[in-house]
Amino acid sequence: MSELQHIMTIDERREFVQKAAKSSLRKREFTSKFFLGMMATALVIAFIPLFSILQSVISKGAHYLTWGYLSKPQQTPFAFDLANIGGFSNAITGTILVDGLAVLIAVPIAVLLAVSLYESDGRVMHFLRVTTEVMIGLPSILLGIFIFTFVVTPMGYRMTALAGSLALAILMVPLIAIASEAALRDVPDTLKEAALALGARKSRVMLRVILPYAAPRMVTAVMLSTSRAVGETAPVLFVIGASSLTSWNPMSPVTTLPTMMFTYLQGSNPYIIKSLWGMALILMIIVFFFNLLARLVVARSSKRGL
Amino acid sequence: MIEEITDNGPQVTIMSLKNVAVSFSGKVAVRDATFDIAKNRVTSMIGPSGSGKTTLLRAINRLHDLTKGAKVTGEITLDGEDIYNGGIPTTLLRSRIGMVFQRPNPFPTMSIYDNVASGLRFNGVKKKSVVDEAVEHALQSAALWDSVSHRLKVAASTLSGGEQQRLCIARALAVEPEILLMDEPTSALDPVSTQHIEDLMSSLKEIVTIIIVTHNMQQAARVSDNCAFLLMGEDRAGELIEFASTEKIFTKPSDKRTLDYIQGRFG
Ligand SMILES: Nc1ncnc2c1ncn2[C@@H]1O[C@H](COP(=O)(O)OP(=O)(O)OP(=O)(O)O)[C@@H](O)[C@H]1O
Ligand SMILES: [Mg+2]
Repeated sequence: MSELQHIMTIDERREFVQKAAKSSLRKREFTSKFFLGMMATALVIAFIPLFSILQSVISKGAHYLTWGYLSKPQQTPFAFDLANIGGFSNAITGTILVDGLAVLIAVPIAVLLAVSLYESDGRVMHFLRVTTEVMIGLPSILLGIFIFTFVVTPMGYRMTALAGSLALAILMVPLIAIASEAALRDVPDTLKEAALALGARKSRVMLRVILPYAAPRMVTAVMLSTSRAVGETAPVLFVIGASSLTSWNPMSPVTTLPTMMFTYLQGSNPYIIKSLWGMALILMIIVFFFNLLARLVVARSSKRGL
Repeated sequence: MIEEITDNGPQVTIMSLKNVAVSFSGKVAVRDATFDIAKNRVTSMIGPSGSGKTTLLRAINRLHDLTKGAKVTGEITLDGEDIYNGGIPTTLLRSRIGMVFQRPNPFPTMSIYDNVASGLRFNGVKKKSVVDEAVEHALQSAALWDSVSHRLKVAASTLSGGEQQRLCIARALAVEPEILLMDEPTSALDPVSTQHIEDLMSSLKEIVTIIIVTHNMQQAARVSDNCAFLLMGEDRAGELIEFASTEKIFTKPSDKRTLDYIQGRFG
């Protein structure tokens, strides 16, 4: 059969392999227990701060979930009535307005960008991809400065909810686009070929086959980036102005929960400082509901196709 | 032209391959493919792994167009018209030439109904009564209607592997192609599903011309009327060794290598 020098008979080799397997099994049992232990420890370490944050936000913030705080806008208390801080309604509507608009602006642009990154492979696209990746690493305050310079200033220093949405959209687009492109690349070639072999145009393959398949992961990307945007202070702080009025007008100055928290933190009224817990809880609830909504959208769209 | 008279009447050529060769980034994968495809007959392509059967099949519906570095030379004509240099738009060509792949690949995001309807919708057919009828007819032709007619709206992924493959056949048939390419359609299936699909092929012959790649010699002998045998040459590029009626290939092939292969002496 071969010119190899035989050093073992088949039986010897079989015994050898089985012995090795047994001892490696013992070793593996140990390593698997060891890693299980490590994982449990890591889980505990990760969850202790997470749970304690959650626990203190809920315990210290829950009593702010009253109709009064939710429906009234903020109010500057008089010196003799420091507890009369009004509510958060202006910041709640401001958050929903700024972030909702940001999602509406970012998603179509990000999806188009992801599709173009996916479809092309020229030098221009390579450049675009690198740029997109670099943008993810930019400190978010830069986006605020950028929007201030190129949007707020030309409009005569007019601070608006829309300016904040634009800043957050710039933050979200690269995050969504890169994750979406990865989701598109994971669509099996066999599905694309099946569609093409039926006479589908490339655009139809994209709309009817590739996008529906990638949709759940793309929505997850939107969810994650929105959660990130909702909590941002720096990009919006200088461009949305500040307003204690509850407004749904994108062209008016607004306040968001994180920016209001930021400003409140600089005051010294203990009632105001304490109310930060309530605002944090409301922010968490907004993010939670947004994610829930996104999941529902996915569950429906992935069943029906786009 | 194939002029030979067989027991099912004279054969009419629907497609001709002349010196077809496919290369990937300059490396030839298959060459010298010259043969005619007879209308309403089953043509099989056999040969060892790597001899270029899939590569040749994918040249016929221009699927190589998407592969960077892939180049198809020679001439393939459909009803006398050159499919690469003639006036047939690629998408139209592909709707005239259906394909069933080696592994069942139904669209996982679509229901059974939508899978079968997908080809029609890709091609712009919207009228519900037309689609409904085509879906039912295609599922019937693929011998799947009886087992799925009551659950057309469920996800295609809930079907068994054999049913999924028949769904893919139905999906291909729904656009009423003139030619159906099948790349080892039963290699992932159990004997019963295989039997189903083989039976199907003999009845489908009346409505569509079939080109099938198979590793299963008995299958080629059972289902096909004509047979192409491919083999790798010295430089590992596949080439057509012999093309003839299946009967001739399996009883008195003119090339020694064909004889060796069908007798299982290599490959
Ligand atoms: N996209 C591709 N890029 C580069 N080489 C390819 C590509 N597709 C096929 N080939 C090469 O072409 C040759 C023929 O492959 P092909 O898949 O056509 O063989 P086959 O006869 O279908 O084999 P099997 O019976 O195993 O399916 C192989 O050497 C393969 O490596
Ligand atoms: Mg193959």
